[in-house]
Amino acid sequence: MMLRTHTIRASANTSTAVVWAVSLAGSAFIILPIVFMVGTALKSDSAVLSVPVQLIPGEPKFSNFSKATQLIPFWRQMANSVLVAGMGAIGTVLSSAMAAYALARLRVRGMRAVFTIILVTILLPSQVLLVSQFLIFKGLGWYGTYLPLIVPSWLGGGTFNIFLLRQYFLTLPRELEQAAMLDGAGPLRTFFQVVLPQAAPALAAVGVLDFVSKWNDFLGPLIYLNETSDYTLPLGLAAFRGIYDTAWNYLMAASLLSVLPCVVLFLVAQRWVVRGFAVTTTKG
Amino acid sequence: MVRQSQAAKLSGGRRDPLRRRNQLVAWGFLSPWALGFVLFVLGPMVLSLVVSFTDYPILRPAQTRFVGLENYETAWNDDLLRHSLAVTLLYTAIAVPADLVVGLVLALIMNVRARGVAVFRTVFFLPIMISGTGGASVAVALLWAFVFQPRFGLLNAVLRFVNLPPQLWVASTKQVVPSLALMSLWSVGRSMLVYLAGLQALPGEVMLAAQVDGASSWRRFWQITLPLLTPMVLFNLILGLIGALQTFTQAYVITQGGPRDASLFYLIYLYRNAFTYLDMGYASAMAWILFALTLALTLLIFRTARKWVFYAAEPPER
Amino acid sequence: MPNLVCSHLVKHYRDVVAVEDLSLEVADGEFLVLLGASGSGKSTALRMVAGIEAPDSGEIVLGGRRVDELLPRDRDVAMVFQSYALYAHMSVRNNLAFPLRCANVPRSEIAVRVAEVAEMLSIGDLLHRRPGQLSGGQQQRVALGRAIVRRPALFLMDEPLSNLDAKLRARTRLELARLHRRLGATTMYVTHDQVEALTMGDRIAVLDGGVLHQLATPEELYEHPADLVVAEFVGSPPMNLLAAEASVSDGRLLMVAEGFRIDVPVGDLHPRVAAGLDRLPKAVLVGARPEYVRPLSTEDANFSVRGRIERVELLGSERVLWVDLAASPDRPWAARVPTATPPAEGSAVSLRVEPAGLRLFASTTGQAIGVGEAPR
Repeated sequence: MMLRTHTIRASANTSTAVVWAVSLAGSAFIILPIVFMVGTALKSDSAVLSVPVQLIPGEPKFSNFSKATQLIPFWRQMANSVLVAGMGAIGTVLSSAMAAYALARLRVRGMRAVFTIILVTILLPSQVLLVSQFLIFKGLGWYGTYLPLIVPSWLGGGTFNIFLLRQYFLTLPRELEQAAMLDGAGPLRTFFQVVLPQAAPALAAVGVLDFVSKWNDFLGPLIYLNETSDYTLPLGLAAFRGIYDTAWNYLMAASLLSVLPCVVLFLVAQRWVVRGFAVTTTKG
Repeated sequence: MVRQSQAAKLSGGRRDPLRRRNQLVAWGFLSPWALGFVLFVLGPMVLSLVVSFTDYPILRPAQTRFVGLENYETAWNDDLLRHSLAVTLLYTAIAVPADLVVGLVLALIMNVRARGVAVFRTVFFLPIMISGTGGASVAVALLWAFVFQPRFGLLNAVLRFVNLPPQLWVASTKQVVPSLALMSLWSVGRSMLVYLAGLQALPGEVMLAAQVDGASSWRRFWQITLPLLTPMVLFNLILGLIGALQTFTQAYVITQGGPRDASLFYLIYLYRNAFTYLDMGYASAMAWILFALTLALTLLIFRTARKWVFYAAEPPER
Repeated sequence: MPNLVCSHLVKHYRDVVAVEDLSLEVADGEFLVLLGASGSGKSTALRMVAGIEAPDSGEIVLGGRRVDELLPRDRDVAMVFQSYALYAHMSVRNNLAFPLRCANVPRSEIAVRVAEVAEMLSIGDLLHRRPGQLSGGQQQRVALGRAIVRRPALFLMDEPLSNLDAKLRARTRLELARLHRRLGATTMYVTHDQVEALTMGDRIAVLDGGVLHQLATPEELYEHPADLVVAEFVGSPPMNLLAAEASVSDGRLLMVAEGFRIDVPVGDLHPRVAAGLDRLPKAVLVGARPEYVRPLSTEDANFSVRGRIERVELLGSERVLWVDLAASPDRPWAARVPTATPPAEGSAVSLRVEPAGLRLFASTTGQAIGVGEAPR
């Protein structure tokens, strides 16, 4: 690649050394906290608060994991998170794909205005909407339920996603849709049976990213959820810390368990995420 | 889409069946978004503006009264609000440029085709897998809360290990904001990936031509690579800016805005006004103030962007 | 009795004319070829008939029904795309069944028709595979099958053979012709390959610049092109052309250019050419297909066409002599000769044209002289 020449043309030794030094330093910065997290999760109560600090304890206590899930209603909260993130991600994918398709393929009057609105909305900081959305949801009687966290995804799915998916749809050859038109398929059938399957990588990317984003959402559940048993994991963990202030080992254990599903999801869908992301940003 | 030529007028005009159908279909597909936009974006924006002109005691809504610009006046005189704005802007001024630069440097380094580079790339992507592209997650915040812990945390352990003095990190009013900025760098993988994608899309022939023309590595970087990457820089800048201005989770979880309000981010103060003091009117006014500020900043960036962002085939001005 | 009638179709894209006043008829069961270079408007015309493009003006009548304002699915038309446009995520079977499902055909009947088409095209053992696992030729057959399974009133094909390699193309041409005979289906076929057009079409419509130049049988097109566009497009090697001054006197036709003189009795010309001589302009282009051009071994008073052999090409049973003529510096004339004793490259040669093979075109308009009926 052309950038390789940046390092090869210059003196080979110094530049390779620089590359390695930076890579290793950067990786250490990333990895050490993760190792610390795992190590802390395995520490006994006394080892956590001992000095000098050990990265990984001499006697790992794997029982911390099960104990942590008993200190808070962990599994219940994980199930809640799965529900909220899952339902939300599905809604996001569907509604943003529909809007993106309309913008990409169906060139009609008014589309340009809609597109501009969407672009502008991307830049909208959500703070403006925080209070008034709360008032609206309260007025609808949705306070204390999951509806404020899920329903907006089904109605518009994130403007950024619409933009990304539109870019992707634009790259699809029109002939398949034309063939479907001739074959007698109506717009809905064409959309679901012909267009969406072609866009699978981009849809997967949007879905995974949205799932993880909702999984980690803190402010939303903080505002709308009351009962501990309704909490999603982020709330549960924060509350955990509130109660057991210095129980870092159990806290880390619970945290670790709470991030595992997302890591697994990412690894599984990784091919598609990178591909979907790259296609759209380079066309930016 | 279909132009009416002279002949069409002669034959009495026509309506393209596809066009009419497309109109209906398009709006059908857009209807979820349109509904959501009105209900959850447009409506709230208007409502928020209206509420900012009122005193709205949420527990006794019947006693709502219109107060005009009173909330805004209070905001103008509110030292704590000014302070929270300063905290947020300071954080933004540190974290965003750091992310832009570090991300770019890392991407350049990761862009070599050497054995094992893919491993490093995955390493930098790990934080994204854990916390998502938003960069803010409770699990990560809790982790870093312990990483920052003065006695038992990782950072001071490392410092002690190399015989450097341990720091207070988030326990210090002076160090808390830079510490949180450091924490944000942990998620630099997101912008790094965007740069990488841009680097991989660079036209190889242009680089080769430059080499043949005798340009050095340094010159090639500044005059060809960097200009061609400016769209990515803009992208990361906007996203980074909007994200930084909305910082909430990290500060709320790690410091609750402390010590002594040293990390009282704007959104935290807003949240407090809305849900602790239940002063919806004032919180709405706060929201609109920041909205105006963000809008101004964003427009400013876009205005200047025309000068320094180059898209593909345009030659850079030098 | 015509099955498809297009009347005065017009299509503009911004300031480009794609199709200008196109009118044609396709008889029931006929195989009509739209022939032209890229940009000639042939694909646009096809898409207008399909309904995926709307004409700016004009009418399309199919089977007695006016269809130009109907959606594609309501026109009873099937199309085979150049890129096949197969549904890559569906099996071959499901690709074939898709249009039937859209039409709510009962499950049992779908199975029967799919099997029938699969057998017809020899893709029966591919039914469970996905398009990505098939070769180009197999994919093409699936695309055909998807059209056939619908039993439409009209088949449309947009350069379906252009993605195949030459050998496969030749074989598939035969298969397509066989299929057409078996199905007896009205077909409109677009191609830029004149060999395909000549071998497959019942009639051929030659388009150029969005305008229909001639609509006729292959023989007619070849022997009596209506204008220069048709003459140059059809036939390989192309028709020889040369600018000359023409005049008729005393029952003889005289054509003169530099180093070029042909003087023949009008009676020796093809009757249709002779019939147009009363409107003969002075400036003409003289045309002659290579098979009518021979090198002279002896002197002939009627012909004085001198040149130098630039190249001799072997074409199996014949050779083609490419002769540089003074009057036609950039376009050597081609002559087909039997292989036996070809003259050597670089040698001077005199040519003779079989008078019955002479064709004349007006220099200004490009129209053929005396071809007869208007192109329709």
